[in-house]
Amino acid sequence: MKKSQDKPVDAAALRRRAKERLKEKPAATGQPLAEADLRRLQHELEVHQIELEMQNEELQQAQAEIEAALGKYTDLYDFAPVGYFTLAGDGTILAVNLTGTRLLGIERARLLNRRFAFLVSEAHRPAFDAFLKKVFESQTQETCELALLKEGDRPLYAHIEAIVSEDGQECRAAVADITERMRADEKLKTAYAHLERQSAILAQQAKMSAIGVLVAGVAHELNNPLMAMLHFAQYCLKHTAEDDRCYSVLQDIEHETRRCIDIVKNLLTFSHSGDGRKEKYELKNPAEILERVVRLLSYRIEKEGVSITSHVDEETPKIPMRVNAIQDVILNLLTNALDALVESKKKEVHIDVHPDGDGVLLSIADSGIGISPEVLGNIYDPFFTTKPVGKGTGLGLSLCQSIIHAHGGEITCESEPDKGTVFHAFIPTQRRKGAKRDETHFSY
Amino acid sequence: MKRILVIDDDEAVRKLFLLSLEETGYSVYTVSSGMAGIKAFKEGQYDLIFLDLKMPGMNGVETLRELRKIDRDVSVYIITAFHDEFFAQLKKAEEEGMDFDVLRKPFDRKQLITATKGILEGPTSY
Repeated sequence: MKKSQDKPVDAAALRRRAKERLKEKPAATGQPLAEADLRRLQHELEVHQIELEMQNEELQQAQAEIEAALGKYTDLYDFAPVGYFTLAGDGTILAVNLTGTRLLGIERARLLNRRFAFLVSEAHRPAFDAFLKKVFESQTQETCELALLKEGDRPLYAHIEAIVSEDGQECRAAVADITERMRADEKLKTAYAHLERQSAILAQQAKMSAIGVLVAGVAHELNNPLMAMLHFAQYCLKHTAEDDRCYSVLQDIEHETRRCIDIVKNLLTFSHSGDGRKEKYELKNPAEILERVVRLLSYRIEKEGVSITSHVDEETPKIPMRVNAIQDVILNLLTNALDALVESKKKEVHIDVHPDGDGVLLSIADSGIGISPEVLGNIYDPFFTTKPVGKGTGLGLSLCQSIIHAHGGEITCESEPDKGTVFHAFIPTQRRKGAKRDETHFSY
Repeated sequence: MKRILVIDDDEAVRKLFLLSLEETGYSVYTVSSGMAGIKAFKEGQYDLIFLDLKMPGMNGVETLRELRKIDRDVSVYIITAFHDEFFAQLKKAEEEGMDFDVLRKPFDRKQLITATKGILEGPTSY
């Protein structure tokens, strides 16, 4: 057991002081002491010495007890399962226990007299300042959760409980490590977000499926009457002179009927029961399809003065695809790009095809009007369109998405209003298992 | 004169056949069910039959099977917008060796005339 270090007992000094005190005492009468007196004095001295020895023993006992208590207190303080900090009103660390130093991985000497705020992650500093203010103002126990900077490691998430001392000069804070809990929370949050996304996809699929059935029914019912109207108009045209006032009206009827037929065709393609014959997968280079689509749109591209540049990586592999379906996707994306350029001064489209991980990434970028953030969230919804009546059914991107999903790929969009839009369609080189499920909902 | 039989339950479709094939000069007869079609075929000579796939009662595939019992060679165009439920049956009919062509709906006047002349006068005549 260690001796008290605070006031070391200097035996020589003590003796000196005792001698001095003896000198101050009034001098004895000077008469020699009788033998009896001497004996009594010796006895008294002996008794006194024993008394002192006993007192000394008691003192030592008390000292030992104090040291034991101190040891126990130190042990309780330093090895408590939470970090204890004593902080001044400005957040200066006045005391810290061993657990506190271990939590932060910083030794006590480097913690004392530092501001606690510097241990708090920058993002949480304002929250900590507010917390400290509240602790000193409230007189009751306050809690908060913060990220603390841990030496050379990931941040430590801490739960802090603090209460101000009675004199209001300092506060005592218990700091518990809740990093594991936060990580679990984080994982839970991620899992929950994933679940929500999945359920949104499921809801979307259910919606698409219901719409698909409805649309297919209506479209099939419209097929015959529309076809009949087309033939009737064509019959009348055949039997009307070209200078007849009715002739151009009949042409309009024919034209508008064809438009209806096209809409129905689109609806049937979109809905799952459109075409009983499912197109077979073929190994094809997407660049080849791309070239075909650009050729298909060349008249419009030229007429509208659009400049198209393209870059096809030579390493682009062939990928398994339903050729007509992928052609529809590219046609849709490119048509959308051209539509977006109609009102912009800079009329540029850039197409890029390159291998990307385990598939091929096809990107179509335009310098057009862009898509506002509010609209961006809806672009894949069936029947959602921003185009004027007669210019779009709102099925194009919905169709593109279901085709790309059926191929096991992904379609994404980035857009900045007045700057332009880019669509990325990723198609994997290997058909994925998930692709099968989509096929029950969509025609591709 | 070449004779054409149209079997379709939809009156508008029957009428369009009559109007659009008028200029070809072929005789076009129409009936509204598979049963009526078989009856008409037994009673008269036809060079080409347009047969709707989806009909109430006897559907196109069943009608085709009955027609082929009477005549193995007469040209038949199945008119369809491709319904899943009939496609398997059509495939089966094909496997059974029954001969037919498919005319996909919707078609316009020119396509119909081309298809008809292609069968009745050989593919190069129009």
